[in-house]
Amino acid sequence: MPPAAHNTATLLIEPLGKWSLPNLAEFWARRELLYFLVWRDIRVRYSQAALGIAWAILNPLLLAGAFTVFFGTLFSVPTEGVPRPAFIFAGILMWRFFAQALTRASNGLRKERNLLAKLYFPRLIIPVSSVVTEWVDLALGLIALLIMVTAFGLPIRTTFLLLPGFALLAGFVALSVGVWFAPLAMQYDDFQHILPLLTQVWFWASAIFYPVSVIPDQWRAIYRLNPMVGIIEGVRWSLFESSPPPDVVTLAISLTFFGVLLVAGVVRFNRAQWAFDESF
Amino acid sequence: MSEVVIRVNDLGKQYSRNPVRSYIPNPTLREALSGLIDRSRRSVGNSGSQDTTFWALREVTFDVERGQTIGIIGSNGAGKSTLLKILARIILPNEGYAQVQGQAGSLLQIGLGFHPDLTGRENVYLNGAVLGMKRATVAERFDAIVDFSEIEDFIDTPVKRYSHGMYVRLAFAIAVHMEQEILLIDEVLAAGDLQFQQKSFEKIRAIASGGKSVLIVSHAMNKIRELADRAIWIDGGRIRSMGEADSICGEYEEASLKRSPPSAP
Repeated sequence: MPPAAHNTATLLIEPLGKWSLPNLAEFWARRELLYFLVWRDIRVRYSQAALGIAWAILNPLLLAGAFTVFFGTLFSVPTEGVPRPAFIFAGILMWRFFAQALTRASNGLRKERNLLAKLYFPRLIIPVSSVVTEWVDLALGLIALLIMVTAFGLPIRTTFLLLPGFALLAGFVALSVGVWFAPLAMQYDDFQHILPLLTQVWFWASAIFYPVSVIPDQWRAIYRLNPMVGIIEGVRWSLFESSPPPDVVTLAISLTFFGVLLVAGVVRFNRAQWAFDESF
Repeated sequence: MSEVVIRVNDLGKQYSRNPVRSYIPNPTLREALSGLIDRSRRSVGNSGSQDTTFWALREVTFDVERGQTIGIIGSNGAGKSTLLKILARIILPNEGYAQVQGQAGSLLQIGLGFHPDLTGRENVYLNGAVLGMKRATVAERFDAIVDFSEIEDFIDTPVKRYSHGMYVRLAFAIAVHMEQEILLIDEVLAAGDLQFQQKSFEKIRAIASGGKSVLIVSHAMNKIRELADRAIWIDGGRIRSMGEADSICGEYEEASLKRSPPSAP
C-alpha cells in the first residue's frame, strides 16, 4: 500500500467544555454514513415485503380510504369543495410522514445503541437519517397523490412545485422535536409511552380529515400555531384550487419558534451525546 | 522515526455507581425524579458522605510514536477498554487529555452495523461507511476484501444465511482493509477457524510492521509478544508498568500466577 498522505490534523480529546458547540463540518465530512444509513433503512424496510416499496403508498392510501368512508358517510365533515379522498389523502400523507419521522428520530439512538457503543461518529447523523428516510417514502406518496388529483379531473397547477418545500418544512419540524426527544428516549423508558400519546394528540389537532374552517374563529389563530396546520393547509392550497392559502404570518411565527427549538436542540444534543457513555 | 502520533496525558475517567444518575439500566422518569428528591435530601442531611463515583482510569500518561505497536494488558475491569474507548472518542475523559495525530480507526468490534437482511456485498459498503471509509475506497478494495474473506460464492447472499465463520471472516476482512494510520484493536484476533486466525494474525502483523501505529488490547500474551514493540500494563485504572513488550508481559504473567493459587478448591 502506498504511504497515505499524512493527515496532520491533530485531534484533541479532552473533557467536555462548558460551551462545546456542535461541529457541523464533521457532520458534513461523514455524509456518506448518512447516505448509507438511509439506504439501509429503505432497503431493509421493503426488501422483505412481497409488495415492496408499494407499501409506502398503500399504507396511507388505505388509511385515507377508511377516513373517507368514516367522515364522509357518518359526519359529512366539509372538505373545501375538494373530492374527499384527495382531501384526506393529502392530510394523511403529510401526517404519516411527520409522525414517522418524529418517532424514528426520537427512537433512533436507542435502536443504534450497539453502533454508538463501539464507534464514534457525529450522533446527529442518526435522527437526521430517520427524517431523510421518511422523505423518500413521502416523495413516493406525493407522486401517488398527484396521480389521484389528476384522476379526479382537477387542474394541474404550477403551485404543485411548492409541495417539496412543504415536505421540507414538515421534516424540519419533526427534526426539531426529535433532537430533543432522542437523548431523553435514550435515558428514560417513559418516552416509549409519551411519544405515541403526543403524536395521537397532535394528529387530532392538525386539520387532517377536516378543514381549518371548522375551528371557531376566535380559536383559529392559536390553533394555527401548530405548524402542521399551516403545512397541511399549504399542501392543500398548492394542490386544490378551492382550498384557501395558509396563514403565512402565523406559519412563519410558528416555524421561527421551531427553528429556535432546532438550534437549541442540536446544541443540547451535542452535549447529551456524551452522557450515554455510562450505558455502554 | 520518533514522531509522536498519540500523546496521552494524565487521562482520567470517572464513572458513577449510583444507578439513578447513570444511563443504564434505563430508569423511568419516576425513578429519576425520586432519585432527585433523595439526592437533595441527602445533600441537606450529610453532604458528600457517600462516595458514588469511582475512577475507571486515572493518571494515565504515555506516548505512541509513529509505526509503533503497543500492547495493552491487564486483568478484566482494569480499564483497558475504557482507555481504548476514550481514544476512539466513544466516551470523553473527565480529566487530562489525549492528542491524536491523524485519523484513528477503531476495531472495537468487527461487523459493526452489519444488517442480516442485506447481502455480503451490501454489508461491505455499509460497514465501510460505518468505519469511515469513502465509498470509492471501498470499491477500490472490494476485490481484496472478498478475496481475503474467502466467501466469493456467497457475496450476494443475505448475511443472515451465513455461518458464523463466514460472517466473522467477512467482517474481519473489511476491518483490516481500513486505511487509517492509527488502529485501535480490541481482542478481535480470534476470528474464524484456526487457519483463518493465523491468516488474520499475519495480516495484523503486516499492518503493524507496515508503518501504522497500532494499539491492541488482548489477553493473549503470546500474541502481544509477537506483535507489540512495547506494552502497557494497566491495573486498577492506573499504569502499573510499561516498557519493552516481552518483559512487561513476563511481569504480568508472574503477578497473575502469584495472585491465583495453583490449587483449585
